[in-house]
Amino acid sequence: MSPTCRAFRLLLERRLSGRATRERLSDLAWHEHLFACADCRALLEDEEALESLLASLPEPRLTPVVRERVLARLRFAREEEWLDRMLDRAASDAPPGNLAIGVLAGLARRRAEQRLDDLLALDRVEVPVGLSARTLGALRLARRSRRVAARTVAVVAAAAALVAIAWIAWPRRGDTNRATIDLAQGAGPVVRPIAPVSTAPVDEDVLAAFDVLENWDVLVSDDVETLLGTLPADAAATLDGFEEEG
Amino acid sequence: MDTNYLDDAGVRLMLAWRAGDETAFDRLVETYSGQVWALLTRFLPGQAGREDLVQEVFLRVIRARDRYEPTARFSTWLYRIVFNLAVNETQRAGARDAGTQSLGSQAGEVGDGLSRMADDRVLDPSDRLEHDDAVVAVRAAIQALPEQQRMALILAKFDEMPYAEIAEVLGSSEKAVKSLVHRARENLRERLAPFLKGELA
Repeated sequence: MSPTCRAFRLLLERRLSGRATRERLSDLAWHEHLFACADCRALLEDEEALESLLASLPEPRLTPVVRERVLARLRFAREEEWLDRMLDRAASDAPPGNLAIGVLAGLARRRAEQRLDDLLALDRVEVPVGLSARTLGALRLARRSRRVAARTVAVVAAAAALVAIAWIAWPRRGDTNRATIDLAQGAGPVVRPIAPVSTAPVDEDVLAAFDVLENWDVLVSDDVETLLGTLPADAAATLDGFEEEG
Repeated sequence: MDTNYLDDAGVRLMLAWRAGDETAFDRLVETYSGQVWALLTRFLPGQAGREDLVQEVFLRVIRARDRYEPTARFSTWLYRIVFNLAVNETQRAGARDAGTQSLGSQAGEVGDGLSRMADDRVLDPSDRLEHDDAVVAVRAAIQALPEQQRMALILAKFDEMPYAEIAEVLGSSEKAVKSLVHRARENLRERLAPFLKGELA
């Protein structure tokens, strides 16, 4: 490529960066270099045509109906996020004045129960390799316990699963070597390694599963245990009844 | 805190929301969901579940609320979330495809089945160059680009984003972005060659 070709192509590059339009490119058609260089003339023509093609793509538009639907679905997530913050504040020295501690504790337990249900409803959960049989066992115990409606056992088993998984797997969150826990009822503890994916980020499902498990720290944290401990016995019984109804 | 971005409308809304103004989040969604939708549509044309992806983008915004710092324009920060999510989605679709097809792909050029099917059409355009055919071909050609080239081109061309900001979105350098856009256009010229001649005619 000759120095004049290089100079012309640099000029073309500059026109193409940012707000390129066919008109801006067409101005270059009178460039002196093009009278002597068929290659650069062809390149300019192709770039002009490409600009036209790109400009012909219809503008994607989000309809108001879809936008409203997204907003509505996000509202639920924000309520969860709000609850998180309330729980954080409840555990601090300045709990929110407009919410009773018992209500917060009840909400925390209910949310954790729901999330455990969601997690246990899955047949397979991908987690980093290296999980012990004890972790798998704890997760399965939680599932089985849930099925026989032994709520207290389920909570304890799930908390055990959380502790075990968090202890073993959490530091490996960025690890791309993954395995599958088969949670199918009656199946033995099986960890099947998946081929490492060198460039892939951790699968969203893995993060989602950990997110669920991570929230179990609400149950096992000292702060919430302390909060629960402050409830009089009859209030705790009332709260349990309320949760059962919910 | 970097004060350079405090004039940015999105940054101000995000900071207001972080400070407790719950209505600011709705305004963020109302203001930016259209752009997120457009970006996802261009990056993953024909992909089902875009509505879920838009929702997921803003779920990530919700999760980032407490640790958010205005270190860039809000749209730059948001587009980075979109890019990471879209790449995950592409690779997930690619992994699904890999189970049923044995198609080779170069590193960073994982595409989904749709793009490959559409790709055939680009390479073998019909004789009648109708406008819709060209639109389908251009979309397919864009989707066949490697992910970084694709996002760099879309942000430069359709969002008119400066290279420096695109570099922030991609976690890259301005120089690298310039090269990505250059190669993207080169690839498009090659793939759309029959349509370019038609456009000139």
